[in-house]
Amino acid sequence: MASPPYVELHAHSAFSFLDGASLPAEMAGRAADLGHSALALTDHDGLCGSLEFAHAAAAAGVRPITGAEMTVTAAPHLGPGQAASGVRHLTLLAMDARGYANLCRLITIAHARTRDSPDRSAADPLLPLDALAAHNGGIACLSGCARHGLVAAPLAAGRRAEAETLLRWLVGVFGPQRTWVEIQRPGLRGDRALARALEGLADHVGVSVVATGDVHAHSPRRAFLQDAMVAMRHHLTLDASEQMRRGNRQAVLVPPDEMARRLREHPGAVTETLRLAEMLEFDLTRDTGYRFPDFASGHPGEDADGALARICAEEARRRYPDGPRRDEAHARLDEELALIRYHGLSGFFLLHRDILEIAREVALEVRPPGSARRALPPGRGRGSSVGSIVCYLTGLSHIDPVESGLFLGRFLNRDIRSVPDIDLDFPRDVRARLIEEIVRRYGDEHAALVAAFPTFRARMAIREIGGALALPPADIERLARLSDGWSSADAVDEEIRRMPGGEDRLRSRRWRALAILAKEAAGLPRHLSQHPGGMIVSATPLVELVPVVPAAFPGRQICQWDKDSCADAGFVKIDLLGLGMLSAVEDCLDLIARDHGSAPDLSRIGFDDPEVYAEIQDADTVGVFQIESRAQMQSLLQTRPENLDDLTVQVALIRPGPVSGGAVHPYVRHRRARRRDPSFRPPYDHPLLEPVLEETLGVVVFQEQVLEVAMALAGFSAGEAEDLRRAMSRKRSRDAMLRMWERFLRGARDRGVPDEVTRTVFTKLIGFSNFGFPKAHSAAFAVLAYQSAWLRRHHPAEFLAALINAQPMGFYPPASLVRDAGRRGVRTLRACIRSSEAACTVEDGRVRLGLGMVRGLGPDLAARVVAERTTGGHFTGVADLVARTGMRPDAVAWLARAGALDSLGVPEREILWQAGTLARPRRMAGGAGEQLPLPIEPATAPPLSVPDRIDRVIAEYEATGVSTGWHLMTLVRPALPTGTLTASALRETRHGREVTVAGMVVARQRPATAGGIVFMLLEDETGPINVIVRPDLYERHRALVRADPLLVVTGRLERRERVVNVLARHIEPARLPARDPIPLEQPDDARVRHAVPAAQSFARGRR
Amino acid sequence: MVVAVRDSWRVQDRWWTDDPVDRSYFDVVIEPGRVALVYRESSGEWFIHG
Repeated sequence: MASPPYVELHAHSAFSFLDGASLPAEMAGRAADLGHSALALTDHDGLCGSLEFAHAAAAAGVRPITGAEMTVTAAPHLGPGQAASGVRHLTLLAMDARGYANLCRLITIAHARTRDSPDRSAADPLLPLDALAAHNGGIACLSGCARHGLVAAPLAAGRRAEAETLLRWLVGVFGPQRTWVEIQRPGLRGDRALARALEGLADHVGVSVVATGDVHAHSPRRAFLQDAMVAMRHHLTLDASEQMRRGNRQAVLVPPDEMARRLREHPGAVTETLRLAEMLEFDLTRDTGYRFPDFASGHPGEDADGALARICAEEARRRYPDGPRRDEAHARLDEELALIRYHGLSGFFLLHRDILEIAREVALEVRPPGSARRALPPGRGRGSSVGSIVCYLTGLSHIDPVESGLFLGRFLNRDIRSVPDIDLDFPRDVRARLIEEIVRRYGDEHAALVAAFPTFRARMAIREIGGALALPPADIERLARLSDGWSSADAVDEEIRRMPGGEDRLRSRRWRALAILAKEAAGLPRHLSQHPGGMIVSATPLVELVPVVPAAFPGRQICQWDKDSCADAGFVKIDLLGLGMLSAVEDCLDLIARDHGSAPDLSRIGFDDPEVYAEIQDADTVGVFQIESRAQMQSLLQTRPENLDDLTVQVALIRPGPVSGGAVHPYVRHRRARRRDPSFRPPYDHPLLEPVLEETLGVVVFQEQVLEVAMALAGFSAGEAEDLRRAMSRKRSRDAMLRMWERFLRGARDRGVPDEVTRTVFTKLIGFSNFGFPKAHSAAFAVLAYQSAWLRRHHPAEFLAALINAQPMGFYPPASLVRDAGRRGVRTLRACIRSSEAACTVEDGRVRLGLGMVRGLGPDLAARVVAERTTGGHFTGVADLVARTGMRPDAVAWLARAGALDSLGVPEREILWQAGTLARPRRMAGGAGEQLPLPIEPATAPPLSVPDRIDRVIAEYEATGVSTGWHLMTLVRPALPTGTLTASALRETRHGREVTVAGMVVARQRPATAGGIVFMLLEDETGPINVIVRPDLYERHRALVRADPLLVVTGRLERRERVVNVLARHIEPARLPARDPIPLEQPDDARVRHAVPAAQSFARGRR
Repeated sequence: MVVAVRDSWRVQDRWWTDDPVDRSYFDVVIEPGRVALVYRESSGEWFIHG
């Protein structure tokens, strides 16, 4: 085949946010289909998609070229503050590794000032042209696009002298050999004249011209989306954004021949694309030059290997002073250190140790002196690292592997291909400070957080694209609310159809455009955000490996790659995760210590308390880490975990991977069989899989089992298996998957596996995809699950208080946690101005709500109130409270409604009255005239009616989100249909009976894996009720199911094993009882519904 | 009779409305030395703009 006549050197992917309309992999795949030999990705001011693109292109047989279109100041010697004089574009391409490093630096510089505003809202990146002088080595500079190009823009505006000066300036920086005048023919009026003028200027100055296509989409369909994106970026409608849009749909990837034809008037510029492409040798898929940070040893001449050995030996002498374990420990240590040296990983372990040392200092700073928390380790390792004695001795793990008989196994062996995982979990407050501190210690050129790229989801797509299409805002809002906010955007046409008059709407072009564009936008990255905890630390400056940009959060910075790209680049990602449950556990230990003088040592409680497992097996797990959700509870009743290994599987089992990989039911079945007959051997799809899947009873539960299955069944090497994992994790990589399948089938045939078995297994692996936990991760989570279950069992009051204090976290709102604890004998007391702290505490085994829970106060004002009470004594009345704390009347009112002022002995209505009369004048401008905190005599209240008990309950829900007295359903019950059963009565009801139940909605879920079925968790005053809503019923009662917080459900009781569900046949809203005569402030239906605590609503989390 | 094409461009716009535009414009010189702006609709029909 003749080599193509043109190479595209200027193309954008969707990582040119709200400008490019295609994924890097789509660009690469399409380029291969169209016969391109090479393709440059030049996203705006970033390399976010570059590594993904490079791998995808290389796999598709297209040589990837790395570059960026930089936004630059319109002239040299302008600061970023002078952007008003206009911004221009330059296309920069990496010729070699040095050029790539410089490109990364330039992008970092362009973003450096993007978070300078006081509210840290994002500004557009801008590179001062002068920065090019210092960082241009190895970069090919193209003069920029037809529209905004540094040289083209002034030329098009008739300012030829300015254009020439700027071109000469570029030549002065890059030299004539690395400067090109970029010409484009975007099919716009005047582009021919401009191209000719640019050619003339290039000739005059003595540099070459090169043609580019300024591609913004991989296929013509996406060109429509590209138009809409431009409108969205400018917050305009399509109609109003004509000036900003491209004007036609020519900026789409086309075959090289077609480009050569379009540019036939510029043959030299076309040929030059080939010559320039040859000069761009840099290959991003090769080693990026990453190194672990150097270990600065305090001992001269000591390298990382020596330092690690010394540290471990010192610690081993301390921890294993003598006895039989000493020899065993030393033998293990020698073996591990040899392996670590073999893989060159000493620096890696020292890096983690350093980070833990920093964490220790941070923890001392964060945890108050004298608290039980201070004695705790700053964080905990998770995963297979707990089997390593080096990890134990360096503090990364807290479990003695010699004593516990743990094996090193998968964590470290001769064959590992990538660096092992060490994830560190921290309480939230420690983690927040630690991230800042790590950047400070290693330097801001060496450490950054990993990026994440949120993609377009239905709700966002509807709002933004609907806005661009100028559809009626009320309709858009209604459609957006109807849709699952976090479901993928490609079901929008379904949502439109469901609207009143939906079919008619879909006949209009604008509505049809919304449906189509939302579908096209689904899965495209929307902007750069922060990964939950991944951090990269590098010895070579990180800013030469990947651009680094400031984060919205002060003191943090993010690199432009997500976790996949970081892994592909061979970066060691240190996961510093903030876990709400760790915060809760620490707080719980503190509360126990306050009460009992000392707290239990969690590292010594073991993992075998039968009382704890009894509760877990009964799914009595509200508030327990990882195993508290509705789905987990139903599974627990059937799997009945008996030990930590079972819990490790359990944590990983109810995840999208195993669920859609079809692992759950077989696992449950096989466990049941194993319970009946301990010698039961689960069936395997093929005998080759037995050694790999034995521990999980024949199904794939853990992420690494995907690799192991591929190796066992299809003879994949560790590297090939890793490629398979990668292909599965990539979006829309059908081609890559197809290639994998062919390789998989060949390998399995070689081992004599029948094709249909191979197909079955491969399908399961695909179903699993990447959405599962690695075993290491599950094991660490299982430990925390057990510990939280243990605390809940043995210290239920402290556990409840700590859970509420750590909100938001977990599956249940505080109201449900309080209710659940109540059923287990823990009483919760109202917040109280005399007794409450800012956070929840425990008083004689009862939980006292914190003042911070009261609406209108918040943690800061609550802390101030408590501090004032501590120094100045108890508040004598409302006037005293207001005078001493400066509290505003609305906060006083909320305190009263929460019952927190009951101890003042004044009727609530009177307090509300007084609070109104005591309103203090606002502070005058200029600071003068502030009122002195003198007590004011409150006016006498007129006689007011006594609020009834219902009102009190509602007010408490409204003020704190919790009721310490009656459950909301107790109020509703009198008006429920006769014969309505409570949750506890349901437990005594036989299978198949028609029942009516009612409750407050705690969760609604419609898992993608359940074929449209909605699962609801209701709660009444006696406990939880599981409801299953079939798709047809859901369609009939969408609004009710999606949004009504109080429901009456009639249906059939389904009892399977120990799982009880109501299969709904009819759903209606629960109404409040009518009262006669109606008091003036009778809580109306709307108010009651509003007071119901936020439920888990579909995949949106609690809201 | 067209002697020369001075410029040509493509306008594709308003695709979200009931009057989508898809035109190829040509700035041409016609025989006695006059210039004209003509366009071709996507339907293939030709029009003179001015």
